[in-house]
Amino acid sequence: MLAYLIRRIFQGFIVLVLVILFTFILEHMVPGGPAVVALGHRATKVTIAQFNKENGLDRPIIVQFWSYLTQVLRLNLGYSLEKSAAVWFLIKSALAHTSMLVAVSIVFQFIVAIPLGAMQARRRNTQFDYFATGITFVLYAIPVFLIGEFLISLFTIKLNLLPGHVSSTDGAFSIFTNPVEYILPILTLSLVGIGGLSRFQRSSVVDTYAQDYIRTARAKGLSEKLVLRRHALRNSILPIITIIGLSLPALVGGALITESLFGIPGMGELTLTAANSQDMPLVVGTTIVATIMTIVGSLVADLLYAVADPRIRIESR
Amino acid sequence: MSVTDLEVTEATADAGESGNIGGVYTLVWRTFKENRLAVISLGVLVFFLLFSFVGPYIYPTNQTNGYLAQQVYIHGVSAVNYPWFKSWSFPLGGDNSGYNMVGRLMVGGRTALSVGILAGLISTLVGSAWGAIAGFRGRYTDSVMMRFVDIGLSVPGIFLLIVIVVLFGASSTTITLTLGLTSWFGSARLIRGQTLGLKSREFVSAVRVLGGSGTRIIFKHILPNTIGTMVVIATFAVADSILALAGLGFIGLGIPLPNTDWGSMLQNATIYAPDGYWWDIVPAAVCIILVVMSLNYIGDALRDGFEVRLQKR
Repeated sequence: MLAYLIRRIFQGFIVLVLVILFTFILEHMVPGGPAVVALGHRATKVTIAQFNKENGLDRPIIVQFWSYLTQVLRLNLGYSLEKSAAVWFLIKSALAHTSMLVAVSIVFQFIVAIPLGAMQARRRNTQFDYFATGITFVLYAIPVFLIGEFLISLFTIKLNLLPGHVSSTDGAFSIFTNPVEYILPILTLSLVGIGGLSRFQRSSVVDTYAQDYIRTARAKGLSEKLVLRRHALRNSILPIITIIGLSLPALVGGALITESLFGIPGMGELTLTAANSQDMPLVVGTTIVATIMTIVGSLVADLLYAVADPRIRIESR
Repeated sequence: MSVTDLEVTEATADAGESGNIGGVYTLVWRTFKENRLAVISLGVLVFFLLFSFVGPYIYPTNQTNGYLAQQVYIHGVSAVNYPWFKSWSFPLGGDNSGYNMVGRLMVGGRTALSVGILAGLISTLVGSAWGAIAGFRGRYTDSVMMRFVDIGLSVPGIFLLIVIVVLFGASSTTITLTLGLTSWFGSARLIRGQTLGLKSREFVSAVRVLGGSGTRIIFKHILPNTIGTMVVIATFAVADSILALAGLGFIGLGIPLPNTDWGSMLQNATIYAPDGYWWDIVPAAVCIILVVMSLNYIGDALRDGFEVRLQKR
């Protein structure tokens, strides 16, 4: 288990270094390089040369990358051009918001999609199954922001039931202290995922039902409920954990849109304001941190998988 | 069911052991045809393609100047921002800049579909070539290439899109290229898996014995054998690209004016939705959902079709 953990962390680290390399290359691929990005297209040659000298951009590219890498790994992500603050300082509070939002959404997706998919599999090819499949198929085709807009116009504007905006003074944990504000954002972020997950869970349970041990369980006289709960469900949940890990990037992307819809001061909101004001260091910083987030997330998913599946736990010892 | 089973067996028999290409596609089409929803979806897709690319020639509208300056009044109500059919000059009303909604949908559809289809194709081709090369070469090439895919899969694509749009500016070309080049990682994995299975097959050894190069084997023998997977991947990739473009449009980084796409139209409409103009959202939303749903259904049906082909072979 420990060896497995170390290997996975090492792999994650390599991925991280390569992503940093990629953003570095991107920044240098812009005509004129980072100086033009920072100073704008109307900068003169003299000011560009001065900027390059001051920021060490006249050194060999390898040296530049090494200093960039070591700085980034120390979370020294540079200074925001617009907000005159360290990028990491800005990201720190935003990160907490986004992680909370994504984590709660994952739990919510699990709670809804697993029973839904299992129920569909148990009543396969019935009216209920077709109805649920239809709904999940539609959900799967709707852009996240449209779901959000729909929920806001229904529950906030028409029915006046739920707030359609999160107060900007909220701390990261207000998702627990003031949950009403977060009902719509969580729904927005989760519905698309629920569509995909429940479809997956359905086919996973259907596959499990065809296994020999299910026949054994039935043969020894277990009720259908117990067969589902003790045997089918447990085995079908394993692949779902992997899927959650794989869908993390999409989920973080969805969080970006959800945050901008509901005004949650998270990473997405930060990235978008930075993008609109051409604040390159901040945009690159959020991208790197969002990548770290997904790497850590899939690492956790892999570990959960190992914990949940005794076969892997024993094999990797 | 027995009748169709018979037909399928006959078709296989006709195609013979070698399985000529025509026979294979007839078989796939036969399975596809049985899926009524998929056929309807194909119809919807063809409709939207015609609507966006041929439509403007049949139903020309003014997409240069909005009608705000010369408000069109119908029965004393402004035709612009009118929710439903009032006159043939504004069948779906106008958007809040006074553009004819139907004409606007055509312009938006042209961008959404061309960007989506091109990006989907780029993604499928790059991913398939990458996966086939990695799988065929094996050893270190394989592990290096697949680690690269791991990286791609762990970066949230929308962040990368934002970085690139901010650095290089938003245009159809940058967005198409970026969408295509950031979404191929999944297909590389799938095709690599298939390649691993295919490369130990006899026909590959036969080419080797005849002196065929590795490149020849990959592009002339392995990739054509994964065509089923590639078609299915492409269908879903187009759907995903259309959704991603809509997302970009929504966060204000989409195709710049005077051009538009369905996502930017939605963003435009949502600004006025809280004031009661909710219906402006409907046309573009319906277009996106219908097209993406059709593509997903078609992809599912094609997958079934190609699976049947594999089973019966």
